[in-house]
Amino acid sequence: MTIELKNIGMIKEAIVKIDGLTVIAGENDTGKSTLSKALFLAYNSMSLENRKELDNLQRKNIIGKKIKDSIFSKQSFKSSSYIKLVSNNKSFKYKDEYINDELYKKDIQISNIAFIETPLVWNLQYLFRTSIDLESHLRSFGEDIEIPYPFLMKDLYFKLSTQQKYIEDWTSKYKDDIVSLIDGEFIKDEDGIFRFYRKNKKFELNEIATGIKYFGLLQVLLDNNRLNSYSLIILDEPEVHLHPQWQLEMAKLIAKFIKNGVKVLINSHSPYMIEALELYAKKEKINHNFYLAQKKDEYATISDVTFNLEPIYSKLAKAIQILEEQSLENFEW
Amino acid sequence: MVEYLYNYFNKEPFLETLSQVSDNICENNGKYYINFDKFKKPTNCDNITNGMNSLSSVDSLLINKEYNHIIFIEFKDMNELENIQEWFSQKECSIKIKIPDSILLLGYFLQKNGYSFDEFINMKKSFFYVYKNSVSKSIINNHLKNRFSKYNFLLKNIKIIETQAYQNKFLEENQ
Repeated sequence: MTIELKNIGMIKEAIVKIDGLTVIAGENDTGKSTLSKALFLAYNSMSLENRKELDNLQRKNIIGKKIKDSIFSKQSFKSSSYIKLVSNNKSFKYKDEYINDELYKKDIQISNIAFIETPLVWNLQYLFRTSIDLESHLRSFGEDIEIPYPFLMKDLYFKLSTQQKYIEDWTSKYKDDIVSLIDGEFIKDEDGIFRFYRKNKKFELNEIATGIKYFGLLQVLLDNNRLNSYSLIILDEPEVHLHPQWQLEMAKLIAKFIKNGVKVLINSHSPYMIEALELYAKKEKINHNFYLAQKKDEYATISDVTFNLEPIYSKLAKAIQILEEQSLENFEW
Repeated sequence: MVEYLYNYFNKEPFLETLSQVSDNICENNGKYYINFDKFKKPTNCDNITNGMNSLSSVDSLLINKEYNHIIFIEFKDMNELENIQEWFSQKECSIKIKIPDSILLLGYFLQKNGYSFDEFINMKKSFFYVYKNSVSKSIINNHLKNRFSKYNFLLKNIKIIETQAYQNKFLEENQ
């Protein structure tokens, strides 16, 4: 499948292949997250299958608008803006609020997208839980209100709290690998709150390291059968919370997931992470596509650099070069 | 002592162009630099290293008389390496050995020529690891930058720098 963007946020035009591993590398403020959010928006605006009833189309329009308003600013979309998903010569086009249906979720073989923006979603679990209870309570009295919390975090919390029935047998091994790496396990207690268990001791999640929380997200998504060959997972700069060695562990785990059919889109500005992804993608012989996001004037471009990653590494090594040069400028004899 | 070293090494047997000293990773800038590798060979230094043949040495020395300072320099072309991580695991210790070996060698030489080893140990010394790489600078730099910290007590400055920065920001300004 490919995603095509036109005039969204700072991205003027971009075509990115989503197949196996997709890595978008680049500095901050180059449109990496915009593409991920556009993919999330377009996918969630799609119908599951070919049903042309008007009410279904309207329903998807409502969902699409709600997501768009939550994750994009009003200025991000212009009259010429669109997001297009293309697979096997069929396409789905999200343009403003009009949705052109030709391609369905069933066609692209993706049944859910988990967007991991930050592991701090764990710190807000009490808030999400209380708010959802409150909304549901008010709804039972005919009050249809919705508390405006960050959509992507709420969506992820939903995926962490609920299970899918479809089970694939490869997942338990990787869950065990994560448990061994973080030396503990995330378990949902009877009160519906997740806690971290390590050697019979239990910890509230605001007490544990952010890196552990990140791996905990993947462990619970595996537990909930939300990482399988029909899943797409979007990881936005996962390195931010991870020690370099754990960045390598994360890359290794991601490559294993992809080997088992999960599709992964990663935004990264870490040379460690990108080099590790390149290495493990080749080692596991998985499909991989690398892109470089760059800003020029007020626009961002996303170029395919799969066959030569040098532009990515050169770009991301610029900070080191500056440091090296500055350390010589102040050389102390 | 620095004057002695400067005069001793600024003789034809030890001098080569920058590109030759640096195994072609630096461009020739028309000046001549000490090829310290030559020094460890007994034939080039009056058997001073006799019995110390297994010593290794850095590639070059920069001797600054004005500041009483010696810089030990090692050059490495990292572009030619297929796998940097593998090189780190196999060859990293050889650079670490070159630093104390070079200091030991020079100290021994000075002592044999009537200078105080203690004085040599106390004089200002630095180490530069100059590498050439177009893509993995941050990985090399992050990997190596703390590997030499155990020599902090011996060396005033330890720098890991890419050839362009070394040439443009250091050689141009300081030679």
